[in-house]
Order: sequence, then C-alpha cells, then structure tokens
Amino acid sequence: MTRHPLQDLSIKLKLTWIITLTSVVAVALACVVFSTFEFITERIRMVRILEQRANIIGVNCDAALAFSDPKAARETLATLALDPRMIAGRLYSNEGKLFAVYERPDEKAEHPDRPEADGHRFTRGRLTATRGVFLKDNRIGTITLTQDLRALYMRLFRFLGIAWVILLGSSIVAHALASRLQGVISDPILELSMTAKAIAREGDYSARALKRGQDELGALVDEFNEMLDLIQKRDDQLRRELALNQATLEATTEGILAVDRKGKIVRSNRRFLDMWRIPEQLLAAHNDDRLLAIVLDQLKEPDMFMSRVREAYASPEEDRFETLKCNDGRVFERQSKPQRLGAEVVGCVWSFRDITERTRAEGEMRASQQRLSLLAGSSPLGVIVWDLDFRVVEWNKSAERIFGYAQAEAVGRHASFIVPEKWRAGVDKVWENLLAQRGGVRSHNENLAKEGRAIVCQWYNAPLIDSEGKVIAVASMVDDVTDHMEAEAAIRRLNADLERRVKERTALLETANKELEAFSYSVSHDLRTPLRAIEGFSQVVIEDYGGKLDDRGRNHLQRIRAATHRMSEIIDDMLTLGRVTRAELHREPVDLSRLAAEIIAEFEEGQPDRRVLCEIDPGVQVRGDPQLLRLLLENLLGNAWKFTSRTPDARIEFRSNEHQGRPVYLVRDNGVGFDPALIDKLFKPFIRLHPSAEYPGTGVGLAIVMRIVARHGGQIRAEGATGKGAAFFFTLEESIS
Amino acid sequence: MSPKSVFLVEDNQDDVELTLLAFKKTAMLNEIIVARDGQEALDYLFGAGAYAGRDVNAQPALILLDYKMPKLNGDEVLARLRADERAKLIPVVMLTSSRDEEDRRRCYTNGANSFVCKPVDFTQFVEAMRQLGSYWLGLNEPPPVCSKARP
Repeated sequence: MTRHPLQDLSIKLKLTWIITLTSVVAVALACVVFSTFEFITERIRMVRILEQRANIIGVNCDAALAFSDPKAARETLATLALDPRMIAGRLYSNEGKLFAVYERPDEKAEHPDRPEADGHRFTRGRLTATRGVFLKDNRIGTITLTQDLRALYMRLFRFLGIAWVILLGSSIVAHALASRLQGVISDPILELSMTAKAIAREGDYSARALKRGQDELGALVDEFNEMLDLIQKRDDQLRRELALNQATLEATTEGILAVDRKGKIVRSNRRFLDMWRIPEQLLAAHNDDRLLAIVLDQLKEPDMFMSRVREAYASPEEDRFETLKCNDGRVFERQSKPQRLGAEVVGCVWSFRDITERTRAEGEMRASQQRLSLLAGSSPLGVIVWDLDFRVVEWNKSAERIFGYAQAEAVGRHASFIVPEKWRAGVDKVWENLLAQRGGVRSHNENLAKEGRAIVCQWYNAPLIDSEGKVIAVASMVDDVTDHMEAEAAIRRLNADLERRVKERTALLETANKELEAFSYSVSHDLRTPLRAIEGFSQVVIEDYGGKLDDRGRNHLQRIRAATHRMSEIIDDMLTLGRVTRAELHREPVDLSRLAAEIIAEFEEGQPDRRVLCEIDPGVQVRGDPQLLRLLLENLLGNAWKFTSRTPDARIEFRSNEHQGRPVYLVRDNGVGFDPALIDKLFKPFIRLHPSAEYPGTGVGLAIVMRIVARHGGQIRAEGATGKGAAFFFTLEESIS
Repeated sequence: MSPKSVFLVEDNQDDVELTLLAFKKTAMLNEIIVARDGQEALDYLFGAGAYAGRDVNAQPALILLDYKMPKLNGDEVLARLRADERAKLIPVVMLTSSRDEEDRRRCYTNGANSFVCKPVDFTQFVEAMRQLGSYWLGLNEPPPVCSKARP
C-alpha cells in the first residue's frame, strides 16, 4: 500500500486542509465558469452591436451610395470616430469597389479592394463585421466595420481580478471556519486517543472516554468503553489467576520448579528452595548452573539424574517420574510434566515431593505386615490392614468370607468399596480419628459386601505405630454382626410389644386399684356404721333391759357384741392391708433397732406383768418408709410377743445378718412355732394357724408384713416347727452400708 | 335454750339415737339439737330455710359433725361454716367411722377442731362422748361470741 503524502499529518490539519481546499476549488471552478460564460456572452453581444451599427451606418450611407457621393459616405463613416473602439469602416459599392473608408487615426488598416463575405470574424484582437447595404430591398453595397477587442479583454481581466479576490477571501474564511469547526470531529477522536494513551501509559483500565453525542463518534466511544470494560475484566481475571497460581504454588507441600524449553528457570516455589537448600539470592541472580550444582551435590546418583534430565529435555512432551535419593537419607519423588501453550510444549514443570517418611513407613509396615499376616490367617474375625491412603494391604480368609471379595480383588482398593454411600462421612471421621490416634478404636456400621449385599459389621481398629510413635498403617478386625443385629431388633420388637402389654395391664390395674380404693373407703364407713348400731343397741339392751332377760339371753347379746368386735377388727385389718398396698412409698433413713426397741417397750407397757427376754442388734440402719417399716416390725414383734405368751423364758430377737453380700433382718421367738407343712398358708391373709381363742388375731398380720417387704423390693421367708418357735428372715432392697 | 347447747349433724338415725343415748348415759344435761343432713345444719346455723328467723346470735357451743353424709358432705359443711362470720369460731368435732388419712387432712385443713373416730364398742363410744362433753363444754374456754365481736 502506498503511503499518501498527507497521511502523517494530524487529523486536525487534514480536516482543515481538506475543507479549505474543497472550498477553494469550488469557488475557483465557479469563477472559471462565470468568466467563460461572461466572455462568450460579451462576444456575442459585441458581434450583435457591431452588426447593428453596420446596418445603421449602411442605412445612413444608402443615399450616398445611391448617389455615388463618397464624401457624404465618408462623413457618415466618420461618425465612427465617436466610438474609440472602432478601428476602421469600409463601404463598398455594389460593384465591389471601395467606396468610402474610415480609419482610426492611430491605426493603419488594410483595406482590401474587394468586400468580404457577409458575417463576422475575430482576428488578432479585432472583430470585423460585414453587412449588405440595401435600398428598398436592393443591395447597393457592402459595409465592413472593424473594432478592437480591448474592452472585451479589459472586462475579462477585471472579472478575473474580482474572481481572484473572491477566491483569496473565501479560502481565508474557509480555512478559518474549517480550523474552528474541525474540532467537532477531531476533538472526540483526540480525546479518545488521549484516553487510550493514558491507559496504555498507566495501565489503569478503569478510565473511560467521555461520550459527546449520539453520532458515529459517540458509537465509537461506546464501543471503545465496552472494549475497555472487557479488557478490565480480563485484566482482573488475569491478576486473580496469577495470584491464585502463585498462592497455589506456595501452598503445595511439593517443591515446584518451572523451566522453559532451554532449561532456564521460569518459576519456583519456596518449598523447592527449602527442599534443596538453595539460597534465595542464587535464584534471584538467575545462576542456574550453580543451582544445578547444588542439587547434584546432594544426590546419591547425580549422573543418573543428569541423564534423566537430558532425556527430559530431549523429549519434553512426556510425563516423567523418578525417585531421588539424597546423601542425607532423604528420598524425593520427582515428577515432570510438559507445559503446553496450545499444542506446543513451551516448558516443563517439575515437582519434588519429600517421601522420606512414607518410604520409611512403608518399610516398617511391610515388616509388621508380615508379622500380622501370620496372626490374621487363622483368625475367625476378618483381619484387614490399611495403608495410610486407606487402601487394603492385607485381607484374610475371614474377610473374604464376610465381604465376598477374594484377597486378590480387595488388595489395593480404597476402603470405599465396602462402605455404602451414606456411611462414608462417618467412616472417614473414624479414619481421621484413627490416624490422629484420637480413638475410632471401635466402630459399628453398615458395610457393603460383594454384589451390593448390605451387612452390619463391628470393627475393632488399631493404628499400627512405628518406633517413633507415628502411624504407619491401620489394622482392623471385623465381625459380621448382621444376624446378631436382626436378633436384637427382634428382641426390641418383643420388648416394645411387652411394654405395650404392660401398659395395658397397668392401666387395668390402676382402674382396679381405684375401684379397690373406693371399695375400701366404702367398707370403712358403711360396714362400721351398722356394726356400731348392732353393738350399741345390744349394749343398751344389756344395760337398760338386762333385768328382763335371763342369763342365756344376756349371753347371746354378749356374743353378738363379741362378733361385732371381731368384725370391726377384720375391717380394720383389711383396710390396713389395702393401705399398705396402695400407700405411696416415702423412703428415708430408718433406724430399725430403735424402732424395734420402741415397739417392745409399748408391748411391755401394755402387759407389764409379762417377762420376755428381748435381744435387739444395735444400729441397724435402712432406707425405707418409716410408717410401713413400723407396721412391719409391729406385726412381726407383735406375733413373737403373742405366740410366746404361754412360753416360759420367752425370748424375742431382732438381728441383722449378711447373706451373699446383702443384709438380712431376722425376728425370732421361742414361742409355739408352726407346722412347717403349713408354711405356704402363712402369709395368706385371713388364714390363721392357731385358734383365736388361744391367740387372738385376724390372720392378716403376716400378709401385711409380706406386702411391706415386697413393696420395699425385698423378700421374706419363715422358719419354724411346732413348739420350737418361729423365725422370720427378710430383706429390704436398699440399705445403708 | 340452755347456754351451752350441742348441735349434732348426723344422717343415720341409729347413730343419732346412740349418740343421744350416750349423752344420756354421761348424764350431761346440755340441750342437743339434731340436724339430719348438711343442708339442714347450714339452714339452722344461718337462720335460713325451715329455720328462717332463728336468732343466729344464739349459736350452739359445740358442733358434732358426721363426715359422710348424703347431699352435703361433712367437710363441705365445715368449709361453709368456716367461711361465714356467724359460725366461723364455733368448735367443730368431726365424728366419723373412718380413719382415712385423706379425710383427716381435709377436715383439719377446713378448720375442724377435732377428729374423732366413732368406736364400734358402745361402752367406748359412751366414754368418748363423755370425754368430748367434759372437754369441749367444760374444760375448754369457748370462743368470744362472734356476731358481737365481728358484726
């Protein structure tokens, strides 16, 4: 493309000049057109005027010609002198002879003898017109007039002069206007370019060009700004990416080194420098050779490394992998990956990982694994050993049986193959805890056996720990408890069922209890009232009307009274029995020894003439309901008191012994005792083993005793023989040790 | 009416008669007024119903109140008495066949002065009445006359 000479001018100048030039050319063109038109018009006019004049002079000379008076003709011609433009006039006779002539004095004109043909011609600054002279339509001669064209030229020159002035003026005005108005177009463009320059200089993509109008330039500014938006976004993104890359580079535990095709270091991270103990200045100084030397210095097999490095540069598109051993015992894993830009390999990224620990752990693990596999082989539990990546290392026969995977299938797989999705998180947690040695020793979860069979397993896990206390692997023993779980579930179902039935029964019992309560209440009131009437009126009859009865009648009334007394006692005991069963149990510390002593003292007070040897173990403390316990002792001691009433050297004991670690309390007497064959009936209410004539009572006492013991969660049993006394042993669930 | 009358509230005719007999045997001469149920007792004490116009300033010196009665129960009657200025301070002895703990609690809570279980044995019953009479009508200082103390 050829360069236009004006191409390098500023837009401002270009615009100004384009406008100016355009205006000048337009004005000049107009001037030329006008001048030409004027010139031609003027020529036509001159011809017409000259021909008219020739006609007029011809008419004026027709008489002179007709009468061949040359003098008159000359005089007429001489009037031409009035017009200084007229150069010459010639009048020819009809015969073609020069008849009269006029010449401007300063002009030497030729006068041809023969007249010219009618018409006009322009010759060398002159215009010549030739016309016929007529007299009554008869041609009598010819007249020729010649005039100079000075006037025409003068006019033309003047015209051109004015055109020039106009041209000059208009070009100045056009230039002035153009330089003023070009701003409308050039200013936004210049501003745009300034903005662009500023952005390029300062790199600040947030700057925006100002929009001035809705024209094409406005649109241009919009597009420019949109473009800036885009660039700004890209710029931001780029920065972020860069920051992220840098952060990633530093965050990784691997040493990273990026080189270009020629092996020059492009980027590296802190870890890389630390691993290879490279001073930072060295990197900053770009002394790559020295750097390589430092690395080689530390390696056990530097030559091997160098040859690998050369290989890597020779075919950079391949991933490479190598284990490096250092002189100080550290082991690194090197991996190189090509860096591609599109399809082209532009460099290579090397990563170094310190696997010293892992290598050592693997070594130790192998050893412990061998020990373990000996044990594992014969275990009825599944034994599985996991490496630190939670992959199977060991898988014994029982594990094969439990999970259905053969050892070859399982080894090397990550644990997730036997962990159902929903248990993953929990299992991962257990795993974390195991590695951190924070527990996870027992776990219980669902597992997946082969073909997706769900089983429930009990796991016993133990981290395998090396000599330095680091975890190198984890051993798990696993038991399939699916059947066990199902059995448990069945038990739970049965329990739930049982509980429901107990609830139903309890409800029934509660209802029955309430009814019983109402019944008891009713008995206490309503059975006593008529009894009292019977007793009372019998007494009144005996007292007030006894005289009217014989002994037999009085005796019958006494029997009525005795019977009512008995019935009243029975009612009282029934009520007591009911109360003992229903009353709420208030447990508190009770001193049984003291209670027993108090009761015996009451008995002695009631029958001061009786002599009974009482032995009470001191300090027998229990927890129980004080009222019920008092009732208990009252009944037991009361029986003892009652049934020793005919025994000489009567003796009553209250003792506290221990049987199988539990305290057992004992009330014993040497009274009449009982027939052991009837022991079953002993604790049944309203059943008596002795005639009430000898030993009064309702037969409810031991039933009450039994209930009180039962309510305290204890047990009672009796020992005895006819005539050899009786002993009652009882326990109370709670005791103060 | 003698200055120290006894007001017996008892629904059972046998018990009424036995009580009257017992009183007779103790040779107490105090007048005994009998109401046959709780409502009648309240009417009497407050001069209402059949007893409209009775001088309620002349209240009995002792009320013997059966616990278990049809219509109004003993403890309800007691509660009403205690809520009214006219009968608030009169000594009330609950006479009942029951030793029920809950009944006792209720009666004492409602302001009973005493709770006596009627013995089945008539001799004992007479003795109980004698003791009650000698204590409440003899030994015990009666409350100030309430209608005058608190109008």
